[in-house]
Amino acid sequence: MAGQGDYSKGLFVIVAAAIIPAAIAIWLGKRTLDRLPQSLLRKIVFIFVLLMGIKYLIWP
Amino acid sequence: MPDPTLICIAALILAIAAFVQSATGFGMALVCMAGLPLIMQVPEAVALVAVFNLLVTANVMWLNRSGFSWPKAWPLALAMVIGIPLGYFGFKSIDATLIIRILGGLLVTISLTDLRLSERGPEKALQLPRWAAFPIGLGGGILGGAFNIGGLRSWPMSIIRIGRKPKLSLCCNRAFSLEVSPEIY
Repeated sequence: MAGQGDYSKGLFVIVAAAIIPAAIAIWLGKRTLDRLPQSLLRKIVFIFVLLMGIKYLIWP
Repeated sequence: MPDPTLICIAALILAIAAFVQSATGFGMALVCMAGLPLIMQVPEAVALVAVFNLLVTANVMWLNRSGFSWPKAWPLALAMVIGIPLGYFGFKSIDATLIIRILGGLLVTISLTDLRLSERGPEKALQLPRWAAFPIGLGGGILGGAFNIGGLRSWPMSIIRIGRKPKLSLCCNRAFSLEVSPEIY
């Protein structure tokens, strides 16, 4: 967990710079979610979870 | 003031992570912590993700507010709020590596099981009773508080449909990324 000393002015500059690109990315992600069939989305999520699980098993 | 190139690269990584979070309901910290340590120190990356995650999950929840239901979601939220301090203060002495390996095994098992079940059709997908939301939320909160493993906090609601609509599950999943502990991988 991050400590107080890890929060610098530069960090918030990066956050500010990323707000607009991220807002666009979130909107695109929402559109993707709405257009993808739920069954396909479920498979994507579970493959993602599987890969995370393998990662945690091998490189915790 | 950080180098402008660094700012641009970091913003790009954060945007990609936000897309993944928005489309799947989780994975933002996973993407961020795969990319950001390449351009900054890990503690800085952790702090950056902690701040940014709150903005992204709030935005995603707002976009999906029509699919969110407090009556169905509050047991999970309450359990997580209880679980976070338990995990943060109670599990410091336990070997984190061992726990994470066990969780990795659990994730692999659950994902393979549900992938197999999903091939039979949505009506046979893994479904738990609604009361299961509390222990699942508590477990997620404990893990999030102890190890900051946000993805593991997200998976139960992705995998287990407590409501009738899969989309509602995803919305719940996103909503609970708003909990107190930042989603840090």
